[in-house]
Amino acid sequence: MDHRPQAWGRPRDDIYGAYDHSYLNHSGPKTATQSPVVTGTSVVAIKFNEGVVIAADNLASYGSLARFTDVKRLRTFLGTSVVGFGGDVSDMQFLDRHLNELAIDEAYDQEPTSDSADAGKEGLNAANLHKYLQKLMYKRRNDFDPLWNQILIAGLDSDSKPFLASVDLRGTTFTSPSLATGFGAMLAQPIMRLHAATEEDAAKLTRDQAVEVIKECMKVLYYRDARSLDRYSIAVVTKDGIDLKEDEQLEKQSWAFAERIKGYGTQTV
Amino acid sequence: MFRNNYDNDSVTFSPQGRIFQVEYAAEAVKQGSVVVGIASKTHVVLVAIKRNAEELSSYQKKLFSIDEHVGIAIAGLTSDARVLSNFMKQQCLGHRLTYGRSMPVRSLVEMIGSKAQINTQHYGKRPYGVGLLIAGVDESGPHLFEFQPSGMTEEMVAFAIGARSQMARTYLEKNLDKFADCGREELIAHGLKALKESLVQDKELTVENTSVAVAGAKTKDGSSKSEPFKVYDGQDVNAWIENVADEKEAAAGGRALRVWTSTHRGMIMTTILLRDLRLPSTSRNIYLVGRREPPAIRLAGRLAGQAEPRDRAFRRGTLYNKNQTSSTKRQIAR
Repeated sequence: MDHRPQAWGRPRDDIYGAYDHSYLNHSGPKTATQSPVVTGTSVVAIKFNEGVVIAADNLASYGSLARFTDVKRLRTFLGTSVVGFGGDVSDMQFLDRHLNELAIDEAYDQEPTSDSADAGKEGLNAANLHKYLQKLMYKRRNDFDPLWNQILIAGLDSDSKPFLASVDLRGTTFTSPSLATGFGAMLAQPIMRLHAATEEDAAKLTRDQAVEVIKECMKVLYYRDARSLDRYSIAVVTKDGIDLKEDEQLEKQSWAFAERIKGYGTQTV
Repeated sequence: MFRNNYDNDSVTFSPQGRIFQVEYAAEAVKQGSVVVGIASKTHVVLVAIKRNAEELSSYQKKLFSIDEHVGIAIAGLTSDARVLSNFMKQQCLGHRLTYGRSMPVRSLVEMIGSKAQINTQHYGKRPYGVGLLIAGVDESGPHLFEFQPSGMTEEMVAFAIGARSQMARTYLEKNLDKFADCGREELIAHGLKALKESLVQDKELTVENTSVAVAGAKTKDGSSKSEPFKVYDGQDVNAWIENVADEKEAAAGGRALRVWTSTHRGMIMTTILLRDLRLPSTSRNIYLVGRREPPAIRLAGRLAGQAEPRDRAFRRGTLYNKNQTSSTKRQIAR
């Protein structure tokens, strides 16, 4: 019996044939992630007059397999910011643990005397967090070991104005009144731009309007993105805090158009 | 002969539970000239007395800015302070780069606290021979911290370290309740008054030996804008020094404060700085300029003895005041 760690948890060679040891290569150069494995799809977000709405569905795909259907891809930070993750789920979990540590350190640095009304307002805000994540992602890219994510950061900046920005696996940042990662950049972004093409337009949007736009985007994404799910998380960030709902169901779907789609399935023509 | 066997290094306790090297380091802080710091709800100030090693040398700086929002006042070994100051500058810059905000003063102070403490627990190292007052503003407002070579750090409302600093601390304790609501100028005045308490008998605050530094926080209602940490030296501190110099003489009425001479177009001029307390506070400082001749000098003396500014010699000279309205100018000329 082979007791070496390499053999742990392996199908037995005498029954299943020899294992391909190239999967666990102990010699040769270190190789970092070359492509994501378990992935989350789009994250969409839009600014409105007093905050930001952000949403992502609860699916983690393993290739084209809808592997995990209860993965929360929106994470809160210090009760003041929301981070939405697209891309590799294990890297998302790493970042989540890392951000939790950062939040704990930050909480210890808070003034012991600060009153509860101001709690959290003196910590890292969304703009600070975005800057930090950008440095982190860019550092990992330079190590040739990127964290395979596209991230949206929603919250308020130091002037308590709505803040929304993205950072990707290369450390590239982008900011706009509305942002979407992955397929959402193609499918949802045009819809959001109809409602908030500029900062001025976004400043006229109300909270309810913004939530409606995001729900509409999630629906279109579910219709057209084959790696998506009809259960999703949605968060609204304002100066009063975060309203996060993690188990929303897409409403008012209409699949009538599906009948007219040809070229798939068992159709003969 | 008595010899202390327990002060060779900072890792050995004496039987009484003391670490002599650390205590000697604290002694080095007391050798440095005095620095005072005070924080209010909106501002934090540092004031310091600079010393020159000899008559011909310049004065050693006491206040240093670390970053846009923080600065320090040092008492003790300047070279040790330089090391800490460089470290603090790097940390602040690094924080600004990674987070895009100014470093919270508390975390900065805790970092140098930890750094200094390590020196008291390792063989072959020595404690820093310098004490610091760290003043800064961050998102939670203005802060003042004390730092000691032992690694001890503590947030203070007001504090003084350095030679004869006990006198300044006594002044600060006496006025403790006033500081919180003080404005920028009041706070500086309190700082300079505390500083004066610590001066030796025949020494005075002058533009050469006095340093002032201020930082201001942004208030929530927007009544006060944030003011970056800035050190003021030389002529920039003149008004503040005179402000505290005068208050003692306020009861005595007007008097000449300073007399000095200069050359103008080959003529030697005498300038007399007069403070006439009968005038409104905005136009109290009057500069009298005249030729250098006995009457002008005598006038200076007479004004010091509260003479009426109507002397003939006085009228012959030019009278002006930087911030005085034309009506008061006429009033005095008469």
